Amino acid sequence: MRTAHVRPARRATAALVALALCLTACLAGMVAPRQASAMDVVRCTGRPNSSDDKTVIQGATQSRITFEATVEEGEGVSVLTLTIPQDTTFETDDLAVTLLSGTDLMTRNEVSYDLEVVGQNLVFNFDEPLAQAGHLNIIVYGVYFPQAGGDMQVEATYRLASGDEHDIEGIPVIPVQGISGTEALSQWLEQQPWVQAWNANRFLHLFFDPTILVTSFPVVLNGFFMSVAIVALSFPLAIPVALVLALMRLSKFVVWRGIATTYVNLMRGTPLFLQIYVAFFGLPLAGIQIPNFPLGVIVMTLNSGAYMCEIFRAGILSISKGQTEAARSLGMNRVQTMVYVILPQMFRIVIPNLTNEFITLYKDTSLLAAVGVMELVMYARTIVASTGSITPYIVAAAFYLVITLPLSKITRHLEESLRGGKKRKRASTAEKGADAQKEAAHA
Amino acid sequence: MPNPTSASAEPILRIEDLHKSFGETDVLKGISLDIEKGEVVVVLGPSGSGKSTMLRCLNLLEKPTAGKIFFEGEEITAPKVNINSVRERMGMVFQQFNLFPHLDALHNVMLAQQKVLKRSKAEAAEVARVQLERVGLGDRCDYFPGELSGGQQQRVAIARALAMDPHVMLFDEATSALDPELVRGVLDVMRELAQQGMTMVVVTHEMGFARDVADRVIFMEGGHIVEQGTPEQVFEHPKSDRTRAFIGEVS
Amino acid sequence: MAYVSRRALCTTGATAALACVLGLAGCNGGNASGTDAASGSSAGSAASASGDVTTMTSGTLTFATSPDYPPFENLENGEYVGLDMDLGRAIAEELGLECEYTNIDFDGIVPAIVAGGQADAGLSGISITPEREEQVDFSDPYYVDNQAVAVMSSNADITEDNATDALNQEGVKIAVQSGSTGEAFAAENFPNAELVSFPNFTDAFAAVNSGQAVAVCGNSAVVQQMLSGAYTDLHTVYTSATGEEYAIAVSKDNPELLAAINEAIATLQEDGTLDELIAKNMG
Repeated sequence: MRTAHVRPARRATAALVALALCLTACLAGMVAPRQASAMDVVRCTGRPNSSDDKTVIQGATQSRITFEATVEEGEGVSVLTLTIPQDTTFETDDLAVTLLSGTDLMTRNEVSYDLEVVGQNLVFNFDEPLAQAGHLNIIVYGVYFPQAGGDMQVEATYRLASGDEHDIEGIPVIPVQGISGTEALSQWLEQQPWVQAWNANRFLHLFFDPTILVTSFPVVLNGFFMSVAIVALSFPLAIPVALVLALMRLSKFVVWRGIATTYVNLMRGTPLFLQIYVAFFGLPLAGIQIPNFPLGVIVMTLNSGAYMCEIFRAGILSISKGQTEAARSLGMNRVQTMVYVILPQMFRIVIPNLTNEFITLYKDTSLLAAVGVMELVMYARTIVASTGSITPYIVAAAFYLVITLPLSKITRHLEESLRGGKKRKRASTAEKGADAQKEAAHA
Repeated sequence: MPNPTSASAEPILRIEDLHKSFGETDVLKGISLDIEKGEVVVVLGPSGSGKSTMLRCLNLLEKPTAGKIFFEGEEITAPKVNINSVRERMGMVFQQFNLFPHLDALHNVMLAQQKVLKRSKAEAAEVARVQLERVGLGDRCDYFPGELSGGQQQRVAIARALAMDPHVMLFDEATSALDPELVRGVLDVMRELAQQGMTMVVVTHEMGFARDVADRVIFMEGGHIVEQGTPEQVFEHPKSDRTRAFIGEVS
Repeated sequence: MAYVSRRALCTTGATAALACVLGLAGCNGGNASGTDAASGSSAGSAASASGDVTTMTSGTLTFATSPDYPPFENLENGEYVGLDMDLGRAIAEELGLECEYTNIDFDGIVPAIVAGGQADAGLSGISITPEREEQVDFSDPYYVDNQAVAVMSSNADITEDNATDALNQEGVKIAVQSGSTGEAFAAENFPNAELVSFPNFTDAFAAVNSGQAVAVCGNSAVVQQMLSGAYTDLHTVYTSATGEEYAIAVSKDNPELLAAINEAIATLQEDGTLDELIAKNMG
């Protein structure tokens, strides 16, 4: 057995404690004392410890049990026994035992005790029986729940100064899940000599920690799906928006031109994050409530539409006037000319710029993190914030490259095949020469 | 060969005191001209004389500043005229071909048939093959413009215009952008067309073509028609010094 | 094992006797060889630590901080203000060093300490977690976190009386700062609610104000600060004293600095300076 005393006072000075005691006493005087019957459980929770899900407590991974129960005025609790569930390991070096008092239960009071550890039982022998009203808060650190998980039932009994023993009833179970595959892999990796050697290098440890790599992968994957979903919707949606804008900008009518030009300049001239803020925090105040995901898609569409508009406009302007004249001279109207002659050519011309815009849009989804849309970077950032390792960002970067690298390649292919037409397959220069001769012969 | 002087029919095209200016610059300063059905009119003149502008005014690619143009009895310069239906009946061939580079030869010829004349795909393709055959490119249906020589491209452009069954064909320096050895093929197609009775207005520098094929030659300079008449009159006995000088220079 | 380092040091002052017991307990309890060595050396060198502390720039102690978390750290007219900032200056003074602050985003602070070259220590309301302790060493805690949950004052569904249950419901959106103690607290105590994370704590409040979330959860002092400033339409419905402890992050390569900082914290705790600073900034 080892005795442990009180945590050093951090906030409350002796004077403050005295003041709090006074206050409590006064309050107790005013409020009719309830019957000092039982300690009631207030909470019994485990600290979530999964990177996959912020609310999940899983086995075989470090956690922490917080137990809190009421103490009635003058109750006189002299011994409290806390029974940690079977197969759950814990540490006793860092126990925190605090009596929270005051009307808001925010005043921390130190509690002196001797600790006796018997198997799974933590026996707190209080130096002075607890007589002050408040919540007794006990935090057990270094807790490892069983690997298989299950509902963990913490039990507690207390003994009053009078010698009566009581159980604390109705303690909620702590639901613990079996360790996830990646967490298990991560823990296994942590034991491997090569991983330890790898992590001994500070750079590798910070940027490429294998244990964090495997745990952050499935988490960041969620964000990847989110990011891809946003782009997969907003990019195609931005195309018609941009087309309409481009046609408006090329229109003969001043009003259309004015509207489109103003819009494009506004969207391109202000930072995207500002537009996101306006949409997410401004629109609701104006009474427009749109769920996060569609709103994110809308903002990205409207922003990208402005940039694409300029791409399309330049594309259209780069097509020779002769194309329009030829189409019009055949009796095609303005719309037919645009749809069947100009736009198909324009799309070929703008493919490289459109690809860039796609990549920009994809990367810009990270800005939605600022307003709580859980996309790629946000998931990574969360793990970075909690682990202090850069590795999740590297995982995120990999997810960006997964899209952008093949895309560049596909685009290059597309460009080549469009530019070349069927040329590569068939017409050689020799044949072309033959054509010219034939033509001459035809004369 | 149709008789251009047949007095019974009214002219298929009538131009009355046509003016066109670009900003401060007056390009056409009062052109009046009647073109009969089946007539081949060749317009000659130095660069900047306004001949191309006049041609482009005929199908309203340029909007006349003043004056009237009648086509098959209808004033096409009047407001609220359906320009597209006018253009359907007036084919045009450009100096720069202006084929649609994203479509192969066949589809270049099919497109307007389908969209403007609402022909079925099969019908449009059939017509397109016939017209491509007519210009000697029956075996180039699936070639893209980029794979064809300039002369071939221009012949596809002619086929594209012919597929619309135009009543008049306008040629705007159709051979000027071609290498000399490719000019012949295009001129041959045009010559055949003339022989088949097509009404044609041809702006060109090809004196030989004018001499051989034209029913009437018009000489323009400075936005005016300086002289007109049969090729023989204009080439052999020009009335104006300017015409004489021009013909002398070119030939 | 993971919690050893934060209590590794104590001073020998008469009033710190209790704390000393804890300190020794920390050393004894260590079952990981790495931390054993660290705590042993820090305890040993504590007495002489302030003499020869190695910092990035000689004579200057540079703290990395993310000044978006009043009343702990914030920029006012270009000045770093708040509890952490005052504490940092007090510690530097104790050690006879100049105090410098460098502005790094919260999630970049621990990596910056690991990488070195940016700052000597991280001082930015950083709470001690087992994960972070894999990367850096933590000083003794200087502050224990309280959590608060605030909702719109007009919200009749969630009140002070029913907050514990009303917040822990499916479909209740609670806005939190990503990686914060508030996020961990909400996840532990309101597992049924949906957490919406924002990189910036201010945005979590904006989200409640604009109806994107129902409640905001975070450090009590910060919540009070926000409510008295820009977000007067919200009120607190729930508070809780928690076990989260704020400490200073120091590179594992610099146990001398850690020891010196711990010594300074102990001194400041002892002479009441720390309590004064807390009272000043949280008042």
